[in-house]
Amino acid sequence: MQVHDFSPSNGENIDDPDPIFHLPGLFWLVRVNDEDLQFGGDEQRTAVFKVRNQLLFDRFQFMGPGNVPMHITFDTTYQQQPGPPHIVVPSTNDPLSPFNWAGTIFTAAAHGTFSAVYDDGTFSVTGTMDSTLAPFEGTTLGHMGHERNGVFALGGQQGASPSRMAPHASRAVASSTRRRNAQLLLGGVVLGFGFVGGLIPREDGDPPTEPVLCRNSIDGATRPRGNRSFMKRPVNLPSSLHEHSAFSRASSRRLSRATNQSPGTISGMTCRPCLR
Amino acid sequence: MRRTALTLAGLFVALVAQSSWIPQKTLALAQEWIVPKPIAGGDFIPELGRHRAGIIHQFFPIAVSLGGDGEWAEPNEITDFNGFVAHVFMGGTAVDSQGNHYLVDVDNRVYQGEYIGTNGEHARGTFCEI
Repeated sequence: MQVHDFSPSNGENIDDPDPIFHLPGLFWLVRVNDEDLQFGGDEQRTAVFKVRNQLLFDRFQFMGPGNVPMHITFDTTYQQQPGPPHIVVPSTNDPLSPFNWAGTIFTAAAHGTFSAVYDDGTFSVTGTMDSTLAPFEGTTLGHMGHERNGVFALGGQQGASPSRMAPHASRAVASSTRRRNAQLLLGGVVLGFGFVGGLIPREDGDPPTEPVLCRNSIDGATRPRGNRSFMKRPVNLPSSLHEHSAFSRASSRRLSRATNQSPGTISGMTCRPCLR
Repeated sequence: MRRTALTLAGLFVALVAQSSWIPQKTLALAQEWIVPKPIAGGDFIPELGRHRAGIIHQFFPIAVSLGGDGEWAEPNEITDFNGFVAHVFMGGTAVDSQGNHYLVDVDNRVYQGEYIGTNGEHARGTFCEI
């Protein structure tokens, strides 16, 4: 079930005062069945996410008019990369900061397929995707693992300053979480998240993992982010749109080398015309 | 005072819920399960055509040099969350029913775990961003 219709790249107002549609402030978010996410592979380091005929109301074309009822099928396999997890600790207690969260996170790769069909039958698309083809270079392309934020990021230490939380304290919290998850599993509550990250055993004798303190001095609250909407047709978008889109900037750079055309977008994805 | 405000808010929602213009799927959503809360922070999107400028409650966890918030920026849009998260950027190709070809960039995120919902209750669920 789609949690929210809000897709800023599709032209909906971000701060709309409408208490029904925009009260949660969530967007692009869809609730799915727990069974849609399965874990497996060696040491449960693989997660397979399958959604079948998920009803969505979205706009395929960037800045296009009206939401379009559609059904999408999405099949993605996430794979933890070799190496120890990153123990993420909050580097600030600022609720607006992008670094106020904790977790045991692995770098990850992914691949999959998707298809989408307008319910009125006027448009359909199928495609494949792989993290090795992501339009970014020189950066980590994915993460997977166990995350805690908000009240859970304090690890039960309400009132403690997360910025002073030592890495070992975070590991202790993670260890506690693993034990708790294991208890849940033994209790018959099988939740996939327990298999990855949170349940990866780490012996006390393991070399300490460098904590990721995320002290990049950036202001996420004022940074423009990319649009991520599907484009129905190859179109040229106004250049002014790309000036505010990290996604589009990266896409434009790459695309300009290949086709000298501007990119477009579809929900959750950014699509560009491919000259063949 | 706080209780009064909440009561009035609840009454307003109840009245609005009687209106015929509320999509049934939205009403069903509120009745069936606990809606999660967004993170407090997020990225700023300037005014673009049909929408006003504002904050979207999500970060872009990729290198700052690439226009992101940093590789270790918050990957989740749900706050008060404890559970599994996966977030991977992908690229690819696609073809539509008319034979048009596309290059595809995907920012796909999946969350599964416990959370504190908008009503303050503890809940559990699986979510994705599509």
